[in-house]
Amino acid sequence: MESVVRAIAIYGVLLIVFRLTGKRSLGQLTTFDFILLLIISEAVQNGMVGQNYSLTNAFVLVLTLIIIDVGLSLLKRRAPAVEKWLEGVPLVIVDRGRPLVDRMKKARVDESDVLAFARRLHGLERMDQIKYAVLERSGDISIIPWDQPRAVARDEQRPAA
Amino acid sequence: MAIVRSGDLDIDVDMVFQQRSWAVQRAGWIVIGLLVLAAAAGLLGSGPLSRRTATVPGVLEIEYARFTRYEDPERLSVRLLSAATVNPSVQLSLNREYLDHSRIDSITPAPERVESAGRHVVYAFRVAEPGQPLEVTFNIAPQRVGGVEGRVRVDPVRGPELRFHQFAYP
Repeated sequence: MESVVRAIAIYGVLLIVFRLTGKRSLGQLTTFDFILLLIISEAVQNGMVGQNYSLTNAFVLVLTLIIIDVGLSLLKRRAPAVEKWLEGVPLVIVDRGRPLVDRMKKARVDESDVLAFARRLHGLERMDQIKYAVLERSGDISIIPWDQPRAVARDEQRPAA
Repeated sequence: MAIVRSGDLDIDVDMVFQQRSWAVQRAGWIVIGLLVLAAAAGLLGSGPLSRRTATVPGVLEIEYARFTRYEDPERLSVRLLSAATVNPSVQLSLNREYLDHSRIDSITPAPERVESAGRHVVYAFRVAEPGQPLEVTFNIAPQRVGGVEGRVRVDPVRGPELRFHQFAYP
């Protein structure tokens, strides 16, 4: 009974805290973020396990955590409002080539983040090559480039060559 | 979630919700900041605001933690002042309710005798230097979550009971 309560409490608190820190917290893990996550898991471990080192306790904790996770995912499918609160919504941060600076500032991303994703995902060089950038629920940034005239030109050249 | 057409994108954006969630986020940061400050100050466990003292003038002085945490070792210091140590033996009693709430790990100096007396447990200490203050430290660890009232009494001095409150966080 106690371990179920502990697992629910830990799950709930972590869920709230990570939602409050925003999606950027987990989107791009720097090495230090990764270390921070490890330290956080160490910190909650004692609170969750307590002084009960039995196998039963470990199983109960694992099962409780997983059933909460499954339960919430079912709830999310049923109730879109719950899904919004638990996972957030995507946010358009570059709209038809125009960076929406105000939104970026509030979501704690900047143009260099957008450009980094643009380089990595599409090999883009400049802001004006980006049509849309969307900060996704997961914290990743999706980049949609303008239709690239140069790529089209190359395709057109190929049959001629 | 509702997929809408935004520009050329089919996407489930919701700016109303987004603004609201940013507002909640900002408020959440403030709450987290306040919680950290409260914890540092001792409102969520040990710290300067948690350490308290209570006295029965001339007889008894205790120092205790107002806020404790479940299973977190704590100290209850009792100072028996000169009026309490005139005899070669002094008895200190603690209420049973408090002892149910907090486990006593050790007592320094060790009592000569421990007796149960109704709703109290009586600890008898030998007084090495009568008339001098005697300090007793109880090393405790809260066993239950929530508030409890501790009552300390010195016998045979018929002084008033000293009451203090402790709250144990989970």
